[in-house]
Amino acid sequence: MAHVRLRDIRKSFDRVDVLKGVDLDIADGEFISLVGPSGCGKSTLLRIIAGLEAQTSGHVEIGNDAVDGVAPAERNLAMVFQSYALYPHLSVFDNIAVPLRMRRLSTLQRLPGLRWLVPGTRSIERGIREKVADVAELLGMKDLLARKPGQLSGGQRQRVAVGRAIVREPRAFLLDEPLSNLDAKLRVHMRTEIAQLHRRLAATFIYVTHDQAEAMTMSDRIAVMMDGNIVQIGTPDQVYDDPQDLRVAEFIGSPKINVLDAALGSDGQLAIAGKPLPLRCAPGVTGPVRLGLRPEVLRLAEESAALITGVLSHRENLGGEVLLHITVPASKEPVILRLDHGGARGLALGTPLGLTFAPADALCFDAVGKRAPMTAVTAREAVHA
Amino acid sequence: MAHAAPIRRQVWALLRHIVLMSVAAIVLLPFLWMLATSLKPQAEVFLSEIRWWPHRLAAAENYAKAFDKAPLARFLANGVIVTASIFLLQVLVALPAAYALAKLRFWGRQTVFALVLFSILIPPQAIAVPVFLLFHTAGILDTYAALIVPFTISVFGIFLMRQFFMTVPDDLVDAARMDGLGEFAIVWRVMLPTAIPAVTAFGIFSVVAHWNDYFWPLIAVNSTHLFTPPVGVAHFRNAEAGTDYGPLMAAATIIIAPLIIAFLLAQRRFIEGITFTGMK
Repeated sequence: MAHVRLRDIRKSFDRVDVLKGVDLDIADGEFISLVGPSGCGKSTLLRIIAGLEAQTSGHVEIGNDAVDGVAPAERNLAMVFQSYALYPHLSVFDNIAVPLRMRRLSTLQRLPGLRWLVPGTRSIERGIREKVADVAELLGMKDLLARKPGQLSGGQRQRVAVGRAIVREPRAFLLDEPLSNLDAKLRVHMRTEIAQLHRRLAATFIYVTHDQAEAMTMSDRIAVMMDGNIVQIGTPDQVYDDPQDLRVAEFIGSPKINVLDAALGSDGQLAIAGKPLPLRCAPGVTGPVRLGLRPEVLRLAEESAALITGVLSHRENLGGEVLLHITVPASKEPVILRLDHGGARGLALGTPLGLTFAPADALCFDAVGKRAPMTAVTAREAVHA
Repeated sequence: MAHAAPIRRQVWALLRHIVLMSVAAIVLLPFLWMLATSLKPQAEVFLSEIRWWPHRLAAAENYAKAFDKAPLARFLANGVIVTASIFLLQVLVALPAAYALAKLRFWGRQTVFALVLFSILIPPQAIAVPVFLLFHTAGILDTYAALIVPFTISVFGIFLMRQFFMTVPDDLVDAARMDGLGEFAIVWRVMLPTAIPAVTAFGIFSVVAHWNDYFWPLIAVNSTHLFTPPVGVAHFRNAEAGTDYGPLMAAATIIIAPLIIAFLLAQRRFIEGITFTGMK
């Protein structure tokens, strides 16, 4: 087990900069997710850590060893691939045994047929058999060991790929979108299973995904990547509640955060569609600003008390909760409001609705999308305004 | 009315088969004639009537004479040695080359691949004379090496395997690298097992082409004990049989027998291989 340290990692393919100076410290035993839209460089970063790709500049450190230029196998990491990458001609047992055989047996001891004549092969093979059996037991696939990957379901293949990673007791696990080839139900199940595995092994996990829900549910920390940079890194709560960038706010959370255009008064007070809000931006922030409101912070309100007004355009009933789509003048996309089970029953489409929210729940972003500090305006000031 | 459509379809199927069978008959006719002739005594070979089955069966003496007058067993053994060596060496060269062209990133890869494609266009006859002179200088004419070496690098094989390797996911190669396999180990322990259908297809083409090759062995070797089956039979005709067609056809039957038997045993693989490569 080891920590992983990245210093100013840059990578260019044919003069296109894919990674633009990534710094990242991953603690020993931490579960960290690299999340971002496709093309943000997260998979490239993982491959650089693995040693499958060479960085253009920068340094990778695993444990306390600089591993720049060290071959993938010597870094002693294990990787689980999106396509599982099982050897199709080998049984499940042999698939899991490959990394051990490569490490424990000499070239001569791996020669087909001849290998049994070399002293020591038998006892090493016995050790490998025990180790593979242990892993199969741990993952609950003892009765699958004789099968070929072609005879397994997606979830079982996934498990074999995880087994092949565990068996070598690597310094860290690298997972490259391991769940995206599974159906939705299995994906949710495997999420729990991987999180439990992480707790049991207490190993460093580096998990790449484009699915923010996977990142939120499993990680100790999330690193959100955009255009070759890590834009924000923090616990799932920090990234969700306190996004430092509009792109992070929009990427994390489902349904997506509502973003409204807001006007900035001369004293810093914000207004939406001409209606002043009890919110003031810190001095120095210049217009146009945008206000981010999570679907669950919005509440329905009387017209007189409403901060935003709009018209109900669509209702999504998800059973446990209800999503209202409300068309408002300040945004091209409808604002989404989340209500608990059975909320807003009987509301007809086209009904005018008033919306309100607690000032502290709003997030303000400046013209370039950076988070802008904001203070609530006290009631007395509001009267004067 | 309900039965009209199936009946029409059956008639159509019958017609189709008649056409196909008559074409097949045209192709098969020389083979059948060869078989028939190999069973006939000398007197019945030159009859003016068409006789498919001889009145006096002379199979035993024809085949005995073929084996007696020409070292047919030797020719067959030579054929096996030469085609097997060629195929093994071709695989030994083509797989690593194809792997490099398909999965490794290196400067000039596209150019090298273009050269491979270009080399497919060069017929072996065009370079026969330079190769002959080269072998003469090297002093390996009239040896097994002369029969085998010119074909060890099969550009067709490299191309075919490269195309197949392109379809193998990169993740599999990366997983092997993570597991500690070197690049050559990846070729032999990962790529080769996944490419068995492609290797089989290539093997069929290679063996058929070199078993039947007449041109190069005719030029490269002079000693009878090095003759491959086709050259051996031709030699037998000139030197021994003259116009004794019965034993000659018996010899011809014997040398094509291994390929036909191999085809019958591996018929499914054979057809799979041909459809796999998308060639005729």
